[in-house]
Amino acid sequence: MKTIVFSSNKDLLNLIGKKSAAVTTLSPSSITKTINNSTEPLLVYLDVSSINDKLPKRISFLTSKEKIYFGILDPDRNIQDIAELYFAGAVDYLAGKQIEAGFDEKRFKRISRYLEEFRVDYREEIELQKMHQKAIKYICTERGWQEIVPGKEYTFSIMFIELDGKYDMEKIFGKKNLEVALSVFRKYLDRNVSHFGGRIWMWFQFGGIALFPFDGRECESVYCGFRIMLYKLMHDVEESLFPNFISFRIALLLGNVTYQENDTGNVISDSINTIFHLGRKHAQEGQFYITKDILQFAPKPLVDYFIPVGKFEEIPIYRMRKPVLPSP
Amino acid sequence: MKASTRLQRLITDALSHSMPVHTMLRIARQVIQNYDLYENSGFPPNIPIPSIDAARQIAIDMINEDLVVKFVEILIDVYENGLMGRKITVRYLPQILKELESSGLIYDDEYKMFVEKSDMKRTIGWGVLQENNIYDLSFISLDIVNNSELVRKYPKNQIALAYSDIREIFKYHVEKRNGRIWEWEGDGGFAAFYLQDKNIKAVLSGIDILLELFLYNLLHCELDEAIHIRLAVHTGPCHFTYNIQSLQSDTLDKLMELEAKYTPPDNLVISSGVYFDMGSKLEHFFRPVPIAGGNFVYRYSLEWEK
Repeated sequence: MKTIVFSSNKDLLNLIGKKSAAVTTLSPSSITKTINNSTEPLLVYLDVSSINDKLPKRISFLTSKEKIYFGILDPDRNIQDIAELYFAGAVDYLAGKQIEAGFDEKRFKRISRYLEEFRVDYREEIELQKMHQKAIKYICTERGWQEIVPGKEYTFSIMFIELDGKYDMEKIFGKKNLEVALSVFRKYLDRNVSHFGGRIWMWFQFGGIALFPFDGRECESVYCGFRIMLYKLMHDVEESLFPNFISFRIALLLGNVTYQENDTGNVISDSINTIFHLGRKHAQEGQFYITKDILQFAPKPLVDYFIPVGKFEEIPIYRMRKPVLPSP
Repeated sequence: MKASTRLQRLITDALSHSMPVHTMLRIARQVIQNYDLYENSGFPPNIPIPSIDAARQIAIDMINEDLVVKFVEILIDVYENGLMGRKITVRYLPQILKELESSGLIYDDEYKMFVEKSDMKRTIGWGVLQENNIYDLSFISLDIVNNSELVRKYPKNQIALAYSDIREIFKYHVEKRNGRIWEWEGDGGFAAFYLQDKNIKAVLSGIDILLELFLYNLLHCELDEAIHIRLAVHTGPCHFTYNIQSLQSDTLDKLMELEAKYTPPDNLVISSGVYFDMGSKLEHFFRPVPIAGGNFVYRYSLEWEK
């Protein structure tokens, strides 16, 4: 786990520089940006002498973030009630000369062991990382679709989208009306998916599977699903031919698929199987689900809009908070 | 609109090959009520004006008075519906339409008028509004909240860039629905909508702008904080003028009042006249807010499930 010290105290920074080359030191003014942009677990130390009266605010910011574990460095021994820090979620505290004596790699390893034993979120994260190292070997494509050749295996963001309530639709709207309304719905998805470099790969009357090539760095597909949900109500009023507000489910995961252009209905793939199960059996109406592995590649500011909702086939999954109409 | 000599020639030919002088005059007087062909052409009143001279003079006058578009609209109406119960075949109409199209105007068959082609240069009057005439329009206004504080807090170029992004968002969503920005001054402005579904289009633009601003603040804003805006939509009669600074309008005053008095940050407020045009789906987006005199305004903001 990476360790960062936020301090502007020159003596302390000199000391840390001598003690551990693996520790990154940053100015306290960059806390928000650094933490918001982080995707991996971090051990963060706040230097009380550089932060002073902003300490409670900084602590409450850090505790609100997932995968962020923090300790306190108190060179001048200003903290009166150390237990309060632990109640607020701190995992370490060093004061005065303890910093010189004990702030080193050995201590960081002990903290990691402690977290693994006592903090469920950290343990889950480590398990997930281990699982990924074992399970998926990402086959990335730098140039997207240009690189993709039928018959070869690649890593894709795999998106399942399907309208809810499909069984009654033909009866309610009539066959012809339904066909026209569904083609408009497909156009809405096509437009959004292609805007983010994806393609609808399979289509089955009420929905389909879209693929987005994965470059190993970021999954714009999460942003795509987010936009589809955000603009869903606008689609309802401006474009949709269904007379009522429509509802659909989206599920998204990162997986390997042997790409083929034709006969996609007969594809045999674990990832496709999983996305169908997640989308059809697990996802609830009107919701957008993503797996934890893809969340770590999501644009960072979007992460806070996804809430953990348990596990699906041992994979932690998240659901997007939905934009809603005002209650009457 | 700048008319070409080819357009003048085509109108001249259309008139002279399709109708007698007194019919030309009758059509011209639908555009300019007291149109006096003799005075304008210099022909003595006791001498009949040859058809070709009358046609040329009318074409020149309509172009000089910037009423040629209106004149062609009436020619189309005469062609489709006749005049005083008589059917008149107006020749060269397809060529005239083509010529106007090359100037960026296209005939809207539903509204029986020319409008600017969406892919051409846009003018604030859609190429059809006439100076000093009154039109029923819908307006949307945008105001950046806490402008003075933001300007004091951030370097000039940084704030200029952010404000220019907001203007681009406003412009894109307004023009996407065929609206026109009438004024923009640093921290806000307003735009007009005309023709079909003008209230709905103004409101949809407003909702779109709020959603886009949400994404902008989340993903692209370079400032250390989110930019907040107020949006209001109101409809009513308004004089049209190219000199927007001089524009006096009760409708615009009401729009500014809506925005300043009843619109919290990151909200879109619409007047009741606009709300009642919304239709069964769109009205669900709005929450009624009582105001003075037993009236209501209606508010929308992006809300998330708890």
